[in-house]
Amino acid sequence: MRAACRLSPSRRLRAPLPALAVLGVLALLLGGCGDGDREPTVTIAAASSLRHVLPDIVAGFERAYPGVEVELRFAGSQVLASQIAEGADDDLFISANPLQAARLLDAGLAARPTVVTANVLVVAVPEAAPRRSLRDLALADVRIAVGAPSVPVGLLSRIALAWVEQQQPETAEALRDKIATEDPSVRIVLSRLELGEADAAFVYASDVAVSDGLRAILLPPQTPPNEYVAVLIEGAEPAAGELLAWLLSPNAQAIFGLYGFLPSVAGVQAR
Amino acid sequence: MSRGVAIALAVAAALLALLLLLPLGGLVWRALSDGDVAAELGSGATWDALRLSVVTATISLVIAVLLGTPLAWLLARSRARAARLAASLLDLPLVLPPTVAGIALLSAFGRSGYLGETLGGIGLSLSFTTAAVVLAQLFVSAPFYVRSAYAGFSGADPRFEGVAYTLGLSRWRTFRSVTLPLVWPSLAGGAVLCWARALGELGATLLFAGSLPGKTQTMPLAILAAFESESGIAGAVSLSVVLLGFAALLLLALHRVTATAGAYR
Amino acid sequence: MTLRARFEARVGDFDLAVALEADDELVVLYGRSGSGKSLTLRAIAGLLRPRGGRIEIGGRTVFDAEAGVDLPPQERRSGYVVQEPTLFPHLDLRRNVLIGLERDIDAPGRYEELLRLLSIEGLDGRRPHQLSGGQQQRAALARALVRHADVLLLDEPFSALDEALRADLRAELLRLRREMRLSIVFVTHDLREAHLLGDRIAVLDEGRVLQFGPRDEVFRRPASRLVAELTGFSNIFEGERRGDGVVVSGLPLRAALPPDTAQAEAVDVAIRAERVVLRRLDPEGSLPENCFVARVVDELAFGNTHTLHLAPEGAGPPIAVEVASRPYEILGVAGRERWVVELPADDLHVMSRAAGAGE
Repeated sequence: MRAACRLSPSRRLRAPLPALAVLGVLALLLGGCGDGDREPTVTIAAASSLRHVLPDIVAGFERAYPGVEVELRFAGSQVLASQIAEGADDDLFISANPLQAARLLDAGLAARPTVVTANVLVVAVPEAAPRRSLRDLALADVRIAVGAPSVPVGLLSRIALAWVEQQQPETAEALRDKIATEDPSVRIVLSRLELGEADAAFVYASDVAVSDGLRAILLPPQTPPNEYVAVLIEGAEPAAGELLAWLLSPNAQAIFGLYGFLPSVAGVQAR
Repeated sequence: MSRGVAIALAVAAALLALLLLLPLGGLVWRALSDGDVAAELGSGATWDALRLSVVTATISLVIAVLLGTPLAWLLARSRARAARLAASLLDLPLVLPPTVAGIALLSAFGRSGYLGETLGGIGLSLSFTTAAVVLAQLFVSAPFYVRSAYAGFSGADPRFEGVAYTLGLSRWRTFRSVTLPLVWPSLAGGAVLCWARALGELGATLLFAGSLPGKTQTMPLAILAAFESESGIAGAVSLSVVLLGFAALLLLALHRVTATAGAYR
Repeated sequence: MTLRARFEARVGDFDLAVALEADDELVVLYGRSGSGKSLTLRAIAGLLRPRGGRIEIGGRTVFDAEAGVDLPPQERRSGYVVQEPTLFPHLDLRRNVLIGLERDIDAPGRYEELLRLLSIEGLDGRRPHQLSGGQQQRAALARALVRHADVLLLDEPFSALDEALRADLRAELLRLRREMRLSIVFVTHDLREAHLLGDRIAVLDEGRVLQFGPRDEVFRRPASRLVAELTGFSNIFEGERRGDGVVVSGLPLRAALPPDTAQAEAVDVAIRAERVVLRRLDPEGSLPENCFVARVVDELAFGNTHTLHLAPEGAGPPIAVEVASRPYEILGVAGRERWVVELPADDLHVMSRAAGAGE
């Protein structure tokens, strides 16, 4: 269900509180919003992992296209895809899981799949911990958090471990034995480190980039990056197309890089 | 009662009943149309998760009953103001969003929690274990039992106990033969709530116990994982219907038991 | 069997200090609600721990603060019956009565006999909600009696029943007491019930025993103004001693005086409304001793009695007079307004103020 609502700010201020509450409830119940504004508003439904980087990129877009207003909402890719499939009227969907984008494409609900960036899997450990390599981890008494195989981060973690196994079979086996939890989202995997319940977590480089006190241990380079696929949702505002193009601009790609993401190979179709 | 009032009452009752049942019906309908319940039932992973859920929820219930019954009785029979205060405080876990409950558990029993460090000192680590699943379920579900039992004991006239004592019945015999039968419906009702809540526990379990198939991945966690997977909603729905069906069977059975036991009222 | 109790207890802000005893008799604990009657029973039964004192039941010390004796209720052999709830709702009559006596092989025999004695035989299998209120109370009595209780503690056991049933049960209780030689402590706030049942009566108020004595003594010779009020004296006047009698509202009255009253000492003078005598006014003759002329100002008919309120024409107090229906008709009270009121010297009760000051 959508949390954001396109009531204009001025209206929101004038509306008395009870009326607002009623409107809010109605908006939630109907899953839609009130009247649109004159100027186009583009809503992006984006994977949670883009929470930090996307506002910066969108700010640049809004400066370049002063007439367009952009609203962002974040959730797990699966949740967002399901909501869009159920009729949420977003304009652009950026999925951390290509499969979820593919679902919408298959259903004819979206178009123009574009890889906008990618994320590299790493093993995050606390900076203070004396562990610098996968071998160190394998030899220590540690607990490791990974994603569930049903989410990209978990799938990639398995692939990565398979590559580790090619080179150091004992290390891979030891690491597998130390897996304490297979979490349903990368955010929860990361929280294991933040809460001190795990000593290492298979997460993305971008997660480490925005977290204090974490260090990344690299995984075998053969491990594929996780690609972020953007799709235009059926019936999107024309400005959404501009925004999609903007994501591939040098400006946007530089910001992705600052936040630990990999640059995209511009304009590549996801499939 | 006038006809109008009767109709209004019926409408109100029907509205809520529909509000509660329609989504469940929708789930079943969805499972039948695009889920594959049969496939999920055939999968070993489903049974693992279901077994883990039922076992942990039942252990939680047993602990809640064994420890919660004396607690509720003492609180209900105590005249101290502190007891009434404690009775209210025991409801607090009900207020917490499950995720916060998970963090609360970690803050106490987690590796860096204030008790966890002591526990770790003797080589005991709770988080990411099946015991943690039980503890998480207990934390969120026991208040339901204690609350209901407390209400039962408070409502049971203490003079029955007094009379029983003067008749020569020991405290234990009085509790067993007089108090317990009197409050049995409250206890059974609380137990059902407690068990159902434990069975559906997700947030606190995920945070405190993690999610490892066969060890800590209960049915709700498996449903969450399925939701994120390729099968997506269809898989989650199929699993949910399995859980729902199983819970319905057990709740109906419990209802029969409590209905016959409460017949003297 | 006997009961001797003298103890102090405190419940919340309420202080209780009682002393009473019962031999093979029925002692009524009489007082308003909240006077401490039920707490007294609970303390005797062992459900409330006194702070000090001593309680003996059937010659056994069940509580002695100084000696550190405090037998639990299970060992006090008291039969405790309360108004409600009486029976355990989940057990049938037989199991209610015999609960805890499963190993007593004589109990079923006594049980059958008691059921017969209390006219509730044949109801063994009924649950309490299938029994009438009277049957429930009889069963509760049977439950207390089947255990050979040394003392029966009855806390307003009949209050929830209707009047006819109460009368039956009272009569039955009196019969049981005679046949079984029981010591009974019976709590009630009903004055008529107290009068009907009590061999001795203890009048309680605010946790204190104001007077404890044989029924007639308490009802005729209340120890204080408060006891007089509690025991239903409608006429209580302030007066003072003069000579061998008292003066009330300017009217000299002959009356028996309590010992140690000084001349001109302020006293309370009481007479029950039913002891006041009305005489026809004889315009010729002079007024006899203890008489004055009064005028009817109000009249209440209540069942078989009429209560008249009269105002004095000269000296004398305003007075309430209770006249039974028959004399009311014979005297022709309805037709006359002015009457001679006589306060018979034997029925006047003079109380020294000091007695009442002790509260």
